[in-house]
Amino acid sequence: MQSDNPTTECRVRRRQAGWAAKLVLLLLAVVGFIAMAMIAVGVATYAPNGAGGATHAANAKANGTLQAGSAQVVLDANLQQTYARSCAICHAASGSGAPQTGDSAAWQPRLAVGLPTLLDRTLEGYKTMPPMGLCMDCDRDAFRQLIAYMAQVDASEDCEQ
Amino acid sequence: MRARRPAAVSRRHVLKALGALAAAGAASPRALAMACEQQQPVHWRNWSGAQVCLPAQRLAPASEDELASVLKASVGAVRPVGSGHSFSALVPTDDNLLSIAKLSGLISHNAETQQATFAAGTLLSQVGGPLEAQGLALENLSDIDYQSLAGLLATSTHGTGLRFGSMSAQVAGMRLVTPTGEVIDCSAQKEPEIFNAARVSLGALGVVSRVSFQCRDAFMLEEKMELRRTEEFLDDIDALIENNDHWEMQVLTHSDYALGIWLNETDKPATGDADSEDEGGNEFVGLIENLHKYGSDFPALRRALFNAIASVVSFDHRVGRSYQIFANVRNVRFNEMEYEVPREAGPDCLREILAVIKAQNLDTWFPIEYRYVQGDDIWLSQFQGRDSASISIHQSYAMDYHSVFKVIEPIFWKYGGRPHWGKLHTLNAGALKRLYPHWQDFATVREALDPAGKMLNGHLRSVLGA
Repeated sequence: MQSDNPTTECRVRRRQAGWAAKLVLLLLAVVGFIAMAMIAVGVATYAPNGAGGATHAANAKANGTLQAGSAQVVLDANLQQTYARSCAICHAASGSGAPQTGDSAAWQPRLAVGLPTLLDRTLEGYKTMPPMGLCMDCDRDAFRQLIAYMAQVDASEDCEQ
Repeated sequence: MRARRPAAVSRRHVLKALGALAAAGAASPRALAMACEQQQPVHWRNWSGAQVCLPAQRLAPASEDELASVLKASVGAVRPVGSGHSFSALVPTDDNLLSIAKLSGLISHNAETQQATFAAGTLLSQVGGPLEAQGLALENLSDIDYQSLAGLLATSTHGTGLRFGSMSAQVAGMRLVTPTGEVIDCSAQKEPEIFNAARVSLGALGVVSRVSFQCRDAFMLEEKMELRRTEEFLDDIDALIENNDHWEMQVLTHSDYALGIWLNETDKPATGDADSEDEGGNEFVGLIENLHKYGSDFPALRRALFNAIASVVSFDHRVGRSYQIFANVRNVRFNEMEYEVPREAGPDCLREILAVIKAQNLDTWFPIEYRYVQGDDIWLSQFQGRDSASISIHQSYAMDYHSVFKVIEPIFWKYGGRPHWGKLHTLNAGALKRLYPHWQDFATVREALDPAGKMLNGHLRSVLGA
């Protein structure tokens, strides 16, 4: 349809140009999403030592989601005392609402937000989790190790990358 | 394999190039590495999250000798921290935050005198078991056990029971390390002036490194919980508190009901561990929160619904070791204001608070805790010289507490209330010194032990007038 009104025609053209731009952006977004999905899948399936070289835990870390219960983590004597003194009050007390030590199903949704977020929530408090988890002398590294112990995940290697 | 590996590495390079994207994806390997590598300064926050500070130094001495050295050598203010469960600003400092967590455990006990000495960083939750192994127990405890011994003594933390004093009243002796590094053992017989000041000190005299409690034989407790109309409890209050070892109630705001909790010594066998959800009515708390969430705009309907529910809810009795029954899990965080009013004034003070909450439809849903504590002779104890009714106002940590507390706090003043040192209040030294006959005695000891004011932060300067 043609318009005999130049102003209207101009508006129609601008609207068409706008839709075209939106379509291009949408296509770019779809392509970008597919590309990111491919990257994510690629990283998830990447095996540095060839097929069979990646352990369950390594795969879990490679795709960015730590898998609760994928490692056997032991604390040193000092942190074991810290755990008993500060963490166990809730994390070894069923019904407290806190994910229990070694309960992979309870820890997995927490780990899904990523360790940085989980650490922030530990330091700042989140819902029923009190800030600093009753450990006033813990630093970030101690909190990370305590989380790794309770969720039984290997978070230590990430510090050496 | 060879064809695949470069492709995968290539993807990794792409991923690395998209650094910002990787950072946004919180669970990516890069982000994990960042979390480990960045040893950022750690802000200190209390249990509720309302008190925050970023200390220049965080200290955690592992022995009394190290504690003395650290105190003597430190520059600037030093504030000790136990488990961070105080709601008032006792802890925050920009200078030195000193944790006594490493001073922990049972040091000794005397079977004849039934006294036991603990390192003062021990959490209350770590006291009952070791004492029971020696056939001993503390006669009364607070209703949670997250606190450190030094922290709960500094604030005169308490349980309930008209025949029982606060935790500070159970202390037989203490060791205090002063800001100059001096180590002082005190008791009623030795350095009695310092003992009277140090049993409730707000952490203003130095750091308590060990404490001796007067214990008793280990015992069992039976807990009974029952919902009744609040007025029914108040009408029968003298019998309830005089005929039971420990009685308290959790008053359900925006209803006419309260949850009464009876604890009495018993010879009955243990009923087994309770689910934490059921402890202290925790399960009921979720229901109350939802009633507030969906019914606060319809106060009359909410009250009717609340009353209907409260009239049919019942709780199981339980029997267990004393320290396990006293302590409850608190699985909802909150901020708290608590005042201690003279015993006789308790019912009227509570009634006035409930009337205000109803009249103004105050935005709060947490139960009000109502307890009784025996009077003592400790200079800065809230219970000094009088048996007291203890009234605690809670507000969910996720809700503003100022708007509620500012309406209720003046009611406490009207009844001669003294604020709990570890909980929120707005009084300064000008008002507080009129409530404590031994105010100047404490000030004299404090000035002698800490002439430079090393143990003071802004809050302490305000409440102590130092």
